[in-house]
Amino acid sequence: MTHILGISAFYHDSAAALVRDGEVIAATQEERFTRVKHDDSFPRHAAAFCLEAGGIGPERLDAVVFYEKPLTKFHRLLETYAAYAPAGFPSFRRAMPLWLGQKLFIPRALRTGLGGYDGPLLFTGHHESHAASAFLASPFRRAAILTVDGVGEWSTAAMGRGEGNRLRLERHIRFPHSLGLLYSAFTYYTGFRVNSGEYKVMGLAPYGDPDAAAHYAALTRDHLLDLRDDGSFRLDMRYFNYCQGLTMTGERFHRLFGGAPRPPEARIRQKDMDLAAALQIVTEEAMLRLARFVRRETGERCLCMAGGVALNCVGNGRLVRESGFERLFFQPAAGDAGGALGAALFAWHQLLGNPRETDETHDRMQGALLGPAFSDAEVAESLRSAGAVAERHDERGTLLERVVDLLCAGQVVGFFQGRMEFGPRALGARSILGDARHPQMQSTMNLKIKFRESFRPFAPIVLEECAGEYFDLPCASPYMLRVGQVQAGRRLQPPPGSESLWGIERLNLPRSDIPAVTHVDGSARIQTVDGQRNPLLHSLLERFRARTGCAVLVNTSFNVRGEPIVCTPREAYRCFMSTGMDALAIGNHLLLKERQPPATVDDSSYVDGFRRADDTAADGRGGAAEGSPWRAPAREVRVFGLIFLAGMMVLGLVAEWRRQQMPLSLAAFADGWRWPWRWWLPGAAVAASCLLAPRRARPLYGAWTCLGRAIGWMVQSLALGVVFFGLLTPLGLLYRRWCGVITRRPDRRRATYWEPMPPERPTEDYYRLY
Amino acid sequence: MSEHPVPSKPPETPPPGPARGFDRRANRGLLRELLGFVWQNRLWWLVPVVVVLALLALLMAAAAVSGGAAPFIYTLF
Repeated sequence: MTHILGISAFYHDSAAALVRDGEVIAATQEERFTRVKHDDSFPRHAAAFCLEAGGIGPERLDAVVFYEKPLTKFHRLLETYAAYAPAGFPSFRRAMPLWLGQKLFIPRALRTGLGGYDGPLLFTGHHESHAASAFLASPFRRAAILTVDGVGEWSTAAMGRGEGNRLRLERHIRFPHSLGLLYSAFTYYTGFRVNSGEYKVMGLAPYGDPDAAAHYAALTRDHLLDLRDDGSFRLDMRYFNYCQGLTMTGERFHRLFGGAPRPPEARIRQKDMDLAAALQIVTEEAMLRLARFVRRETGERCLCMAGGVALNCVGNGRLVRESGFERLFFQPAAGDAGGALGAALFAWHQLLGNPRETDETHDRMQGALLGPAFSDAEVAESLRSAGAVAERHDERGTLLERVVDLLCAGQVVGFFQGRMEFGPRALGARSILGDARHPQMQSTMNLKIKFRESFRPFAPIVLEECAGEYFDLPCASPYMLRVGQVQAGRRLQPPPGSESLWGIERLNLPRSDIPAVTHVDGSARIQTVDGQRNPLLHSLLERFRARTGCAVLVNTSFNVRGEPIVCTPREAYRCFMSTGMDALAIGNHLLLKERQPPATVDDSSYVDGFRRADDTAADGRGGAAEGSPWRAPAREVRVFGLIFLAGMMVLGLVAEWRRQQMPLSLAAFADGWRWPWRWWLPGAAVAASCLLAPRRARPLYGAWTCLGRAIGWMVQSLALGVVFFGLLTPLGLLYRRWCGVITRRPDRRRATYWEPMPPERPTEDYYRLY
Repeated sequence: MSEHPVPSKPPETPPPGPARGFDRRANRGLLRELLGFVWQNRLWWLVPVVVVLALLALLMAAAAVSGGAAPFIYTLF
């Protein structure tokens, strides 16, 4: 048996995936274990879970595959700084310590993070990983491939084709021109967090005024984006700041759209909604042109898509209807987390040449239920230790009937069953469910349970066989990645006088007979449920339909705003007790809120903790947090004592040596403080206190470490300043003159912005970091 | 990790010896990777930048590894 572990890490959404002889055994994101949303640290816990799921230790791995080429990425970074120098030093100053301290040493991080793993390490291209996660996991024998995201190495979008067990990317669009980064720029400008707030912008778009949105879309096309008929595009980089700055947009962008970005804490304005709508228009245009070009170019009938832009389910819905492809597959973990799975599958099929069997119907994602599961006994133990009061239902049927009772009574039920989902969507394993027909369900769930912005819509789950009764959806959508309109017959006419309402005011208007999942534009982000991928959820929906005649429920992820989706029973109970959820169906247990003992957790601190994390503005370039020296373990303090003593002894010897070098008169003058014992004695005193009373000596260690960090910050700033202004800037001036490849403006003379990808690389190249 | 139980069967066959199809010896050290990268892509203009950054990385690594010695090391420069 061959075990291959895929890893994505050090940017955002770190993840691990294990493939055994081509079968996906497990895949999960690190955030689910560390409880840090979009955690970018090495996926230590996720990898450990994957290995445990495979029943192996790291020594049994045949290969570890990292999802991108670190040196190529580093080169792109340096070349970008060279292209913009002398601008960009603050960004350079911030990025380089991360690279020099961590990201350049990814092989070492992989080996130590996996407990001393000593086997082969491979490195696939970023878009290759995305492409593999889409095509090799798809049900298609052959298909066209399209990947679109922020940036990976030099590419921001790529197209190609796959057949059997191989894929090949043929063309790409080069950094800095990026549809994903354009989306992130508007996300930043409208006051949301880059790399996580993009889906909020998508949810805000339907509130936009059509005329204003058309105006902003025209401005975007005229000034920011040159979009060609073949979908290729180029940005005018004078409007953006992400290459050289710490923000996404520049002054020229702000002038074009009439003001500074919305501060994250400020109220959402109608203008933000109009901008979101304009961005959605432009993004859909670009996605459609890209897909149509890929269709023409490859002649394929099926399309596989991945990359962060493939999470734009509104755009995906249009691709399904208008791109010309007969069948489409969107990787459910389309963002960087999915790169871990793609890298592992790529190594198994493309690098080892193993065949790939498919029946053209079933994909290999197993409903994306690839994370941890918990037995009924473990759930029972967890609930018992938490002091929960639970009903036990050994028959799943009776449990589901009880859940249906509660849903029919308008209650909100947490649903924690089986393996956790891989990817950003909760698909019924870690979900909160409600009755979609209930007029107040959307606002109840948003404000009392999710504690999030009231404008955000909820997604429906619907029996696959009944989807056509409710939605205009030409095909199944098992991963909640397609948007379709609620059937016209179910939509309600707006009441008289409502024409004057705009933006958020439209939220409270009745829209359909399933209002909780109908967005203000009549659309819905649909998950179809079938009996093969998720039999338990399918059975629940069937029972709900038998009781009510409605085959639709509200499904939202089991978390509060800013919190990663819950992973364990303990986290589920904590979230349940901290929110307005009425009941929790977990394993074979049912918990009713009214029967629970008083909350053992502080509700407000639980919710506020995650909300603060969500509100904190970030640019996605966060680094590893340093541990606090004020709470250092005793051993660390003792080691510090010895190091301090050694350092002071050396300084004392240097002082003595310098004293002896001095003229006699000066030596006499310096006599008072150049004697070595003046250094040795404090050194010995600190060492003694650290060794004998390490806990009491923590303040010494803390102060000394802070001093070290302050000096380090100054030395690094100085050294990096010399590198940047003394070396990179003059080299950059020459580079721009002779060999620059970073283009800053659209070139109207060019017929297309697609560029050919390098030829297929031999297997040996995948051992390289470039 | 006992909190996250195993959802699939462990493999029935004994582990293979050396990796089948992959070669551990094909991996190289970072310095050789950097040299190979510069050579392959003809990025001569990057060499001085990379050399100076490498020295800085060494300094940072020394300060990080030595823990409490960071102020002593940094003040040498």
